[in-house]
Amino acid sequence: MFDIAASLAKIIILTHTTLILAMYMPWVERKVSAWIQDRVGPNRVGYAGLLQPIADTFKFIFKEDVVPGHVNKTLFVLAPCFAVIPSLFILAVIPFGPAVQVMGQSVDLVIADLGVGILFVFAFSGLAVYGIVFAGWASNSKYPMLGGVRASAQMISYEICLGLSVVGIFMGAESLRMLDIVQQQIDGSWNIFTQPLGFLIFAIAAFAETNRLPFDLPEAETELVAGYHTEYSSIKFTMFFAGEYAAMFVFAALVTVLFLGGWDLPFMDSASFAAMGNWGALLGFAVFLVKSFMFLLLYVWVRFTLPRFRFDQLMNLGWKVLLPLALVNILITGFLNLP
Amino acid sequence: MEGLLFYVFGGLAILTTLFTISSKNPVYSALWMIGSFAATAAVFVLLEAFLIATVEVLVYAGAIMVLFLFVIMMINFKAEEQKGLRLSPLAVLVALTFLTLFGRAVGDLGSASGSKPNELVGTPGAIAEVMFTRYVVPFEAVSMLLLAAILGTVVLSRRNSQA
Repeated sequence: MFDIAASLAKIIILTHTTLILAMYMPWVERKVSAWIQDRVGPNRVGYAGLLQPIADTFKFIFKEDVVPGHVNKTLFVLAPCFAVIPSLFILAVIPFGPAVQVMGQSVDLVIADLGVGILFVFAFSGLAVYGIVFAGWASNSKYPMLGGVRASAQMISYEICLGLSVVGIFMGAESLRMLDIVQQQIDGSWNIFTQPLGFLIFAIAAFAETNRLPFDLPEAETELVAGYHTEYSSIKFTMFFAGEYAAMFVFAALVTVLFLGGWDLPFMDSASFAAMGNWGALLGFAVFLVKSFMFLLLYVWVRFTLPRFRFDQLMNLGWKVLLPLALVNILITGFLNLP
Repeated sequence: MEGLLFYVFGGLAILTTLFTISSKNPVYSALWMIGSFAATAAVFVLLEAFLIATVEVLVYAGAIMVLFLFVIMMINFKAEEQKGLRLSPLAVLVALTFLTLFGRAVGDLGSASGSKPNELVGTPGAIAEVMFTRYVVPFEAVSMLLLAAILGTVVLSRRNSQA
C-alpha cells in the first residue's frame, strides 16, 4: 500500500514537471530567441508574456479539429498518441533526487529502479519514431510522407550512435542501473569529464533524436511545409508539439543523469545531502532540474545559431563521423580501464 | 495475479499475431506485429527476464519494425492490398508441418508448473557472464556470421547499382 502510494506520488510529480516544462519551453524558446536576435519576444499576455503558454493552450484546444478526407482515420488519430507516450515511459527510470524519508521509510526518487535502466531508455526512445512514421503514412499526402521516411532513416541512424556513446559510461560504472551511474559520479567525477567524447556524441545524437535544429529534416518548413504534421490541426497538432518538448526534457534529464552527475553538487557528497533530510532531497531535485534546464537552453541556443543540415550531410555525419568516433571512444575507455 | 497476467499477455500475443497475418493492409500488419512484440516482452517481464524483455522491445519492436515500415512505405503495396488472405495448399501444408513439430516440442518440454524462475538469471550481469565465458566462441562466431551477411549485402547492392 505504501509502495503504491509512493510510486503514484513520484509518477505525478515527474510527469507533471515534464508536462509543465513542455508547456513553458516554447515561451523560454521565444524569449531566448528574441534575446539572441535583439527582439522583445512575447510580452502581451501577463508579465513578460508569462501567461502566453496558457493562452496558447486554450487556443489550440478550441481550434477546429480538421481530419482531412483523404487520410487513414485510425492511424491518423493514433499517431499523435504514439508521439507522446514513449517519452513519458522513459521518465520511469530517470532518478531525480536523493532518497527521501517518508514515515520512517527511505524512498528512492526514481519511479522504477530497473537493473536494465539505460537499455529501457533506448528501447522506448526507439519507439518514439512510430508517431512520426504513422503520421506521415496516414496523412496520405506527399509532404508528410517524405517527412515520415526521413524521420525513420534519421532516427535509426542516430539511435546507434546514441546507444554506443554511453557504453563507456556503464563500462566505468559496471552497471546499467541509473542510480548506480549517479552514485558512481557522486563518489568520483562527473562523466562529462571522464567521457568528453561520449558526451559530445550523445548530445549531437540527442538533437537528431528529438528532431531539433540543425537536424529537424522531418519537418523542414522550407522543403516539406511542416513535414509529418502538415495535415494536423488543433489538439492533435498540440500533442506532436508537446511530445517534442517532452522528449527534449527527457533527453536533457538523461544528459544530467548520465553525464552531469544527476543531483550532485561539487562541494556536497551523499552524506551532506542525507544530513539535510528531506530538504536535501528537495535541493537535489532542484539541482537536477537546473542542470536539465541548462541543457534545454543549449537546445534553444543551437537552434538559433546553426543552419539546417542537408539530408546527405546528416547521414554522413551519423554513419561516417559519429559512429566510428563512438567505437573509438569504447576502445579508449576499455584501454584506460584495464586492470 | 501473475498467472492471470500471463494469460492476458499470452492471449494478446496470439491475437495480435493472428491480426498480423490476416490484415489486408501491410502497414496494419506491421502495427499488429509491434503489438505482438510488446505482448511477448510483457510475458518475459512476468518471467523476471527483464533484459530479454528490454532487448525484445529495443531490437524487434524498435529497430527491426522501423526498417519493415520504411520498406513498406517505400514500396507501394496496392496490388497486395486487394487480394487479402489467400490459402494455397502449399501454405497450409507448411503451416501444418510447423504446427506438428511445434506441438511435439512443447509436449517434450513437460510441465514447468511450480518452478519459479531464478530472478538472478535475467539480470544483465548474469547473461553477460555466461555469454563472455562459457559461450564466447559461439557468440563470436555468430558475430562473424552477421558481419559476413552485412558485407554480402553491400557487395550485392553495389553490383546491382553499377549494372
